[in-house]
Amino acid sequence: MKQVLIALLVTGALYSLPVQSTEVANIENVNNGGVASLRGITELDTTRKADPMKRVEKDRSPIDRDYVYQPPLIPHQTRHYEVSLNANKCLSCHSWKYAGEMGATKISVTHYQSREGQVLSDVSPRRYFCLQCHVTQADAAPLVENEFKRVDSLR
Amino acid sequence: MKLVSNFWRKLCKPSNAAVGVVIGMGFVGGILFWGAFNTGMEATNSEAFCASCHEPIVNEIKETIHYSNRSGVRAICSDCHVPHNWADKIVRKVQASKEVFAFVMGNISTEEKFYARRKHLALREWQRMKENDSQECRNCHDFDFMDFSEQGQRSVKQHSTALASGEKTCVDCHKGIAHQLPDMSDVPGWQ
Amino acid sequence: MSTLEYIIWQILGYSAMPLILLIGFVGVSVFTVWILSLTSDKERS
Ligand code: HEC
Ligand code: HEC
Ligand code: HEC
Ligand code: HEC
Ligand code: HEC
Ligand code: HEC
Repeated sequence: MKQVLIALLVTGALYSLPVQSTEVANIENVNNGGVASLRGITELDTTRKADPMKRVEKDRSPIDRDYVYQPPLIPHQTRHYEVSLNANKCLSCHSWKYAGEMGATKISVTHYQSREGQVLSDVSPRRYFCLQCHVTQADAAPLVENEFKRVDSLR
Repeated sequence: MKLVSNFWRKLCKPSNAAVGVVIGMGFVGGILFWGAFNTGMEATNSEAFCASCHEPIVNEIKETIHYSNRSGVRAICSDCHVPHNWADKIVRKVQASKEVFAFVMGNISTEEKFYARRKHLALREWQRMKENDSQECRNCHDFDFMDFSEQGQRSVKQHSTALASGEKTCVDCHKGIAHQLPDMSDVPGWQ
Repeated sequence: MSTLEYIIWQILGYSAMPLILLIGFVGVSVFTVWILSLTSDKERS
């Protein structure tokens, strides 16, 4: 008797499972409510086709800075420039030793300072991974309107 | 021994077959031999062949410009590491007997061993390319046909000076063009 | 590569070339002689 009961309960549970899951899917929670986001106006359960990748600017003259302590934008492509434990491709052009020869901008002295402001003899570990702060540029329209204004001295 | 002397006797005496048949067989045999030889050379130039021993390298090359790029032209291992010139190619292939030996000794049999030995191998390869003025690169990239107006500013600046004057060669500046680099702390031009 | 090493490889490499041709010749002649011995050059003793 007990066994029959258990068997019944189990089959019942099994049958109710699909019912439950369809119930979840039927809830109208995928509607975006007519709000456009950066994804565009799409329902939450559909995936919008991705935009084509933007192309990084290959090589140009330096880009003007917008505020005083801004890490300058990278005016050239950086594909496959290895920055790792073994090698730092950026420093092969931008380090003080090679900047003159390669015609690149020297890294400024802040790149040699430790967190406490002490000037070290080589690039500070916190400035080793250049792409943390410096980024390449693509010719792309801004996603949202930007009202940032430069400080007076840079205008 | 008997077989050899038998064979020698046959070589020395005229055949009963028509001259045309003998010459024809020699001719066809020659073609087949050369075909087989070339096929062998080609097979041992393929990326799959190199991959059988250089697995980690083949994996990391996939993100580089010579594996995937807009024009779809590829440089495979042998384009950069095996000379085109026939005589030099044979010399390099014979030299590869050293690699087979190193393979048997298990020099780079695991990734760890490979990374530990990589600096040594890279130095040898740079030295080789320096000696032949990066001939392998120049097989595809001919300086005479570089259009500076199409190149980036940084490229022009270096190519029109240090490269044009012959003071430096491709691998002096383009180290790690197809691979990840070993420890570069004491390599000239790096820090 | 040291100069000595370079010379050794050049010698080995260049001596390999005639060797390859020679082996090719021997290979083809063995095959030819064998085929001929099966057909027109049958030993009649
Ligand atoms: C082949 C040499 C070379 C390499 C490698 C290189 N750069 Fe440059 N970089 C230059 C040159 C040349 C300029 C432009 C200088 C000019 O025109 O005044 C430049 C400009 C810059 C600037 C702008 C400087 C300014 O004052 O506006 C930044 C930032 C920069 N690079 C960062 C990097 C980073 C980060 C890397 C590594 C991912 C890198 N660079 C790798 C040569 C190089
Ligand atoms: C923690 C963020 C950070 C990192 C990491 C970093 N930088 Fe900078 N960099 C800055 C800032 C901020 C400035 C602008 C202020 C200054 O000049 O110190 C700057 C300025 C520069 C300049 C222009 C200097 C000048 O005199 O105009 C160059 C070139 C540069 N960085 C290259 C590099 C390179 C190459 C690396 C990697 C080795 C690197 N940076 C890593 C933040 C960073
Ligand atoms: C039988 C396995 C094997 C194959 C197949 C093989 N290699 Fe190697 N290769 C090695 C080993 C082992 C070494 C390390 C030699 C040493 O430790 O001295 C090596 C080293 C190298 C080096 C370092 C430079 C030098 O002078 O030693 C290059 C470059 C190289 N191989 C390229 C290739 C290319 C290209 C191919 C395909 C055409 C290839 N290898 C196929 C086993 C192999
Ligand atoms: C675009 C040319 C190019 C191609 C393609 C290329 N290599 Fe290399 N290879 C080099 C250069 C240059 C070096 C010298 C070290 C460096 O700069 O990274 C090198 C170094 C090596 C080394 C020595 C160890 C090291 O990593 O530095 C080995 C082994 C090697 N290559 C094997 C291969 C194999 C296997 C392939 C095919 C998957 C291949 N290479 C494809 C140019 C190339
Ligand atoms: C089989 C021919 C071939 C060989 C050999 C070859 N390359 Fe290339 N390389 C190409 C092609 C094709 C491209 C351009 C791909 C594109 O942009 O569509 C290229 C691109 C490049 C670039 C441009 C990278 C970039 O980011 O735009 C450099 C630098 C380069 N090669 C250096 C070398 C060096 C150094 C060697 C010798 C070790 C070499 N190449 C050997 C075919 C070759
Ligand atoms: C004096 C250093 C130097 C030498 C020597 C040199 N290059 Fe370059 N090359 C550069 C620099 C710097 C760049 C631009 C930055 C980058 O792409 O890393 C560059 C870029 C390139 C590019 C991409 C060009 C573009 O703007 O689209 C190719 C292709 C190239 N080099 C091939 C070669 C070849 C092939 C040789 C040997 C015949 C060679 N380079 C020798 C420094 C050099």
